[in-house]
Amino acid sequence: MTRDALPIPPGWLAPLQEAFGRMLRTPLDASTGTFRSALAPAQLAPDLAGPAAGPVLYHEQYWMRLFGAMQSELPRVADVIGPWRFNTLAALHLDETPPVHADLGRCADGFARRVRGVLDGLAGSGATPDTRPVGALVAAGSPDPWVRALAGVSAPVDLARQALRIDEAARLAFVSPAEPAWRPTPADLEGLMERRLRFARSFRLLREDWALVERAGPRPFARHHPAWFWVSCRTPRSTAFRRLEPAFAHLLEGARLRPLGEALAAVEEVCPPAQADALRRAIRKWIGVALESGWWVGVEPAR
Amino acid sequence: MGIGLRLPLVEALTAAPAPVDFLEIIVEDHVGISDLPRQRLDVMAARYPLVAHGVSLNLLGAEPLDLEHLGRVRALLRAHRMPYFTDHLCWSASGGHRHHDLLPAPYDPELVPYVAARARFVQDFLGVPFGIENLSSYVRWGRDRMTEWDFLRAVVEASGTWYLLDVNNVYVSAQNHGFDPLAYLASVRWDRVLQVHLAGHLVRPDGLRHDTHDRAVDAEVWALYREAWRMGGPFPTLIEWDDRIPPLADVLAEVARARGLHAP
Repeated sequence: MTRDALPIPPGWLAPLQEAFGRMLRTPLDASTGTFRSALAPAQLAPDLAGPAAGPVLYHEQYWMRLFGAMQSELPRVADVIGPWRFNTLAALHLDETPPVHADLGRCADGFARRVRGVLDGLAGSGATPDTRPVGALVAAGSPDPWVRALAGVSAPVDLARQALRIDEAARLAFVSPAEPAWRPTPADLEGLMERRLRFARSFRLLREDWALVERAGPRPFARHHPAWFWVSCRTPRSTAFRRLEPAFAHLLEGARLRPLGEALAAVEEVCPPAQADALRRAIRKWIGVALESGWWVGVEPAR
Repeated sequence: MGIGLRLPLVEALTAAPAPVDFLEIIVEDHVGISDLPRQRLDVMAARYPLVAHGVSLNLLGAEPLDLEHLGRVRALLRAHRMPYFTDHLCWSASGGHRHHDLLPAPYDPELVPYVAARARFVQDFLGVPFGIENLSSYVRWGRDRMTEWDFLRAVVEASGTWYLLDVNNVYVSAQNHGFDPLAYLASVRWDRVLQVHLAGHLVRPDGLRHDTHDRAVDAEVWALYREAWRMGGPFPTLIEWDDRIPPLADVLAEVARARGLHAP
């Protein structure tokens, strides 16, 4: 039998289930400082029987499961802005874009982009570091519920932005397929400096001013002086964050835009003369690390 | 005797052979975009027999079955030679939205042929026996015209599929809706039971029983399990522990307890 040959459902089934689904998707009441079901009689699915607490249980379970999934997908963002405000934003996101995938984690798709847009709208894209508390930028009485949800967030703007970038990088590494290892031929290596490298799709270079990647410390977040740099990338059998020397990060950043030799020259230019030999030795090691880690998957065609 | 394969248990299950006969996987954890869970599954499959359990089939839903999802499930079953597949007597999506929950539908005779045809289709499509699990429920419908156990039996018999009997769910729903759990067990076609589930549940302050899978199996559920074994054993039994998952030793203690109940 094919799926098309299956019987059609009784006519009452779809309306009944859609009414129940609408009931589940009704936002919880947060006015008492906790997320609770407060369904008005008109919001209850019709034709329900059984314990009065039953619809409440399903309603709260729907939202709490999704809040939990979204916090798992974006744990650093949840830490930085706090679970209450995170859930408030998550509720807005889920109200706008209810889940459509069997994969529960995908309920968070698009959330980071939306939050970043709100942050950019509040803070602009001025000079960094932007250490103004996010909440201080929220105007009283803002009509935008996404903006209002950020009132009271004491975390600096850049901390929130870095948390978004790091969580997004981790999600990307998880869903990205492992790319075939690139083992350059002697000819490839000979011409490496003149070529632009192709990076793995999951490769993300991350700057970290606050201890976010390893999520080891309690709030408030410890600040690094100077900044730390990481690469997040899919590996053949896992995902990984790897911490880099600042000069290595500088090299990788440059190599994304121009031939490796030019990127290297830019790094050497700012290197104190006394460290030039050490830098040359380190570069050999870094190229090995990038190849072994699968960050580079080939070279762009010669121009 | 088996246990559910859950991420916090993977390290201990990999480090040393655990005294279980099989592991049950949640297929939705392994058919997503990322291939990493499937790679981890390869490691576990080399150590333990696996069986497959689903939570998003939407068997009782008004929407068409998701063939793309079923195709991924079939590939997973074949890759690890899993002997059967189970999912729930419930719906979980409507209007294009996924609710990520196991929701009861009215037990109406009009629905039996519709659900039975879908169940038979799933079994044929996957090419392995398909077991349907009774669920814990917290609402009933004004449209209910049959008991849940009569509905489930009618679907199983009309479709040629199988049961996955969750004894905890029988008990939870019996308490929430005021029916006799032994009447449920008496209706079961034991020759069609693929597997049995046991899990812990929460008794809320308002008295409602909530199927939380976050604690040890309740004493009354153990008593009901003993009765199920007397009526229809032996059958493969699985301990489900999905939230606030304790060390593997605590889960295995539940396995040992079930084995102890089987002793003459």
